[in-house]
Amino acid sequence: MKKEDLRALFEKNMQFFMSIPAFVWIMIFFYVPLMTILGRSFFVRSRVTFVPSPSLENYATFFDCTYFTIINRSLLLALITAVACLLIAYPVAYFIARHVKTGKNILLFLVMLPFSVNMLIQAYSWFFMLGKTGIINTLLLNLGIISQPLHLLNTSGAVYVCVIYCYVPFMILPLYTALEKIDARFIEASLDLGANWLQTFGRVIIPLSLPGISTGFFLVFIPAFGEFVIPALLGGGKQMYASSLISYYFLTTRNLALGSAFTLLSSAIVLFVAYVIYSWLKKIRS
Amino acid sequence: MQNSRLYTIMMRSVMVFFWVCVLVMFLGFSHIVHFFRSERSINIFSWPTLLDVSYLERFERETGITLHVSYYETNEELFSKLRATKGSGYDLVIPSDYVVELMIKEGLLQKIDQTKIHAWPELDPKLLSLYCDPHNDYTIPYFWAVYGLGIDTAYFKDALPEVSWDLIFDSKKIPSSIGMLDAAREAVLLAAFYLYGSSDIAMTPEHIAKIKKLLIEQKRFVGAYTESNIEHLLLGKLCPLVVAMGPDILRIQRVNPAIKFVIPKEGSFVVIDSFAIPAKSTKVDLVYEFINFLLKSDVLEHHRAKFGMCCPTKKMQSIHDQTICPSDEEFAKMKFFKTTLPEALLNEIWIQLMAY
Amino acid sequence: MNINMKSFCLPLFVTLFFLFLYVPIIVLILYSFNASTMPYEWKGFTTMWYKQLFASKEAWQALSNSLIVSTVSVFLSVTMAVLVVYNGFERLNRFFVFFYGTLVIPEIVLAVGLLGFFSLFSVSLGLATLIAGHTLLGLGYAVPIVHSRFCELERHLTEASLDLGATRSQTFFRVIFPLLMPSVFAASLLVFVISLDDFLIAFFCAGAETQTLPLYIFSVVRSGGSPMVNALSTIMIFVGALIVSFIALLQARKVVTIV
Repeated sequence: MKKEDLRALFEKNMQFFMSIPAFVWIMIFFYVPLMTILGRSFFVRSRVTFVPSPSLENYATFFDCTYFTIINRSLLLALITAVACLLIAYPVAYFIARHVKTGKNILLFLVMLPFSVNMLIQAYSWFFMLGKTGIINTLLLNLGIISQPLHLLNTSGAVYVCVIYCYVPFMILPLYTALEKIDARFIEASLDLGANWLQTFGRVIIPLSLPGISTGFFLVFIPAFGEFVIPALLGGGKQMYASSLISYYFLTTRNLALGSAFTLLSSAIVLFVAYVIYSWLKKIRS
Repeated sequence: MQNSRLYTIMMRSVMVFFWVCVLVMFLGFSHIVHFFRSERSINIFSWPTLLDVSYLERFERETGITLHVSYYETNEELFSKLRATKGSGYDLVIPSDYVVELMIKEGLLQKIDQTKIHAWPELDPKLLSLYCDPHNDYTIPYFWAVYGLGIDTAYFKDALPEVSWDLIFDSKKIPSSIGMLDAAREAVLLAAFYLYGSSDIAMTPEHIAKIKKLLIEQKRFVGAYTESNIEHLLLGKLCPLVVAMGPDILRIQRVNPAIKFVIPKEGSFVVIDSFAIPAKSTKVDLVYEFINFLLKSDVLEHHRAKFGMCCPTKKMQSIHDQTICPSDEEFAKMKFFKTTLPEALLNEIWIQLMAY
Repeated sequence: MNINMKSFCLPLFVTLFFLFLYVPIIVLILYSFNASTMPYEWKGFTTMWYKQLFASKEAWQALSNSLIVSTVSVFLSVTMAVLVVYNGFERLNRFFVFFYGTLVIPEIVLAVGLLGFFSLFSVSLGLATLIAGHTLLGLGYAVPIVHSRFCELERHLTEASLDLGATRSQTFFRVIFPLLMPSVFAASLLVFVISLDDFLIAFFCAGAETQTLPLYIFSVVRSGGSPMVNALSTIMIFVGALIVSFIALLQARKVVTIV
C-alpha cells in the first residue's frame, strides 16, 4: 500500500480516531471490570491446586440466614431512608416551590449548600451531636428533660439519622422541580370544585408531583443501599451491611471470587426491588 | 468497494489498538515513577503509633536516606496489602507474630542477616526463637505488648470488681457497654481461651459452636468493636471497659488518670511485633541502617517514653512499667494468637457474628 | 383554621429543617477552635489546630495527591468528552448510552470492579489507578453535559462552517469550542468537586502509599477523630461553599445550565 494511500485512509478515519478515546476508556475501565466481576463469581479456586474451575459454589454459599440478614438490613436502611427523606423533603420543597415568592433561589441555594460538604465530614459532625457531651445530650440535660446523658453513638439509630441527613439534599431538587411545574390553575380548579385542601393535596398535588417523587426516591434508595462508611463510623462496627461485607471480602479476606459473587447478588437484589417499586409508582401514575 | 471497507476496518482496529496501548502505558506510569525514584530511599509500612516523626526526620538528616512511611491499622490490612502486591512495594514492614507465620508460609519475606544488626546481642532472649520464626531467619523483634482490660475506675467508684475475663464474657458481670477487639482471629482466640483455658487446642465443631455462641451473647453488651478508637470510647465515657493493648491504655491514662490497665488474673495474650523485609525489596542495606538506628538505646528510650511500648532489649526491662510490660515469669505464662484454625473459618465466624 | 395552621406549621417545619441541616456543620466548625483535644469540654478559643494542620506533612501530601488526581481526571474526562461529542456526533450517537452505565450502577460495584480488574492484570495501585477511576466517574457526568449543550447548538453549524471553507480543526477551535465553553467549564467544575470528594473509589483503588484527602479524613475519624480534622473540614467546607456559590452565580446569570 502506498504511503499516500495510507495517509489518505488515516485522514478519512480521523474523526473516528479522535472520537474513540472515551469509548476505549469506558470499555476498559467499566465494562471489562464488570465482566471480570461476573466471570470471577462463577469460578472457585481449589484449595489444593489453586486452579480455578467453574462452579456455582460461590452463589450457593449465600443461601444462608446470615447473608439474608445482611442484605435485608441494607434494604431496610435504603427503604426507610428514602421514605424518611421523602417525608422530610416534601414539605420543604413544597414550601419553596409554592409558598415563597421572592428569594426562591436563595433558599434553594441554602438547601443545596450541604451538598458540597463531603459525606465523611457530614458523618464526623454527628460525633459532636450525638456524643455523651455532645450538643443533643447537653441540650436535653440543660433543659432538664433527662438526668443522665443518653447513649446515642454507636447505635443503629445514629446510623439512620446520619444517613438520612446525608441524603435529604438529594431528594429536594427533584421534588422542587416537579412541584414548581404544577400549574396553579389545577389547584384553583380543584378548590373551586369544592374539594378541601387535604383532598386537593392528595388527589391533585401528589399525583402531579409523582415524577419528582420517583426520581428523588431512586436517587436516595440505590446509593443508600450501598452505604457502609456511615455504619462503620457511627454504628460501632457492630453490624455488617451489604457493602460492609463486600468491602470485607475484597479488602480484608481478599476472597475476590466470593466478593464478586456477593456484589452481583446484592446489586441484582437492590435493582430488582427498585424495579418493583418503580413499576408500582408507574401504576399509581396512570 | 470491498477493499475499501476492509481497509477501513483495519485502520480503525489499529486506531483502537493505539488508544489501548496509550491507556496501558498510562497505567504503567507508576512503575516508571518508581524506577526514577531516589535510590537512597526506603518505603516503610508501619503502625500509626510506633514511629516518632521527629526521629524519622533526624534519621533522614543524619544518613540522607529518604523515608516514605505509610500506615496500616490492623495486621489483616498489612497482610492483605502485601499479599496483593506479592511482597513488593515496601522495604520494611512490622508485622505481629501470628502474621509473620502466615507471611513466611506464602514466601512474602526475605531472610535477614543477623550480623548486620548491631544490637542483636542485646535483644531480650525471651523475644527470640518464637514459634513463628524459630531461628529468626526473617524477623527482628521490635516491640511487644500485652492485651488486657482498660478500666475507667471513675465508673466503678464503689468497688472495683475482680479483674478477670468474666468482665467481658459473663453476662452477669459485664458493665453496660464494653469495647471489644475487632479482628476475627483475636476475638475467637480470646473466647477460646476463656472457655477452654487455652487457644492453641485442636478445635472440634462443638468447640467452634460454643465459641460462636459466647461471642453472639457478648454482642448485646458491646458498645463498639474497635482497637483504634478506644480513646474515644474511654474518654468520651461511652464504655467503662475496653479490651486493649497496654501501651494504648497507658497513653490514655496520661490524659485521664482514672483509666487503668489491668491484666486479668487468668492470664492474657502477648503480641510481638518484629521488623521484616518483604521478599522483593532491593534496598536491604538501607533498611539495616534504619533498623540499627531505631534499636539505639536513646531512640528506644524516647519511643518507650512517648508511646509506652515494651522494648526488645534486655537493658530496657528494668525501666519498664510492670503493669504494662510484665516480668519474665508472667511473660512465660502468656499466650500467642496462633491457631490451627483456617482463615476461612475465622472469617466465616466473624461474618456470622456481624450479621446479627 | 386550616389556613392558619398552614401558614404557621409549614414555615416552622422548614425552619426546623434548616436547623437540622446546618447545626451539625456549625458545631463541627466551632469545635475546630476548641483548645481541648477531644470534644468533651470546651477549653477556650484557639487556632492551634489550624497551625498544626498546616505543619502536618501527611495532610499536605494527601492534599497534593487529591489535587493531582482531580486535576488530571478533570482534564482527561472533559477532553475526551468534548472529543467524543464533537467527532462522534452523527455516526456514534446511538452508542452514547454506554456512558450512562456509570450513573446507574452503585458506585461500590465500580470501585470493586476496578480493584478486581487491576489485581487480575497485576497493575500496581497508586495515582494512575486512582486517576483511571476518577476519570471514569467524570466521563459519566462530562459526556451528558457537553452532549446536551452540543445538541442545543445549531446542528448544522458544523456543516455550515465546513461549507464555508474551514477545516475541521478550524471549525472546532473557532466556532464550536467557544460556544461549548460554558458547559465545558461547568462539567470541569462538577467533575473536580466529585473527584475531590470521592471516597469509595479511593478506598478500594488507591493502594497503601497514596492517600487522598477523604482517605486521610477517614483514617483519622476511624480512630476517634481529632480537632485537626475539624480544622481541615472547616477549610474544605468553605472551599466547597465557594465553588457551589460560584456555580450558582453562573447559573443565575444564565451562563451555564447544569440542572
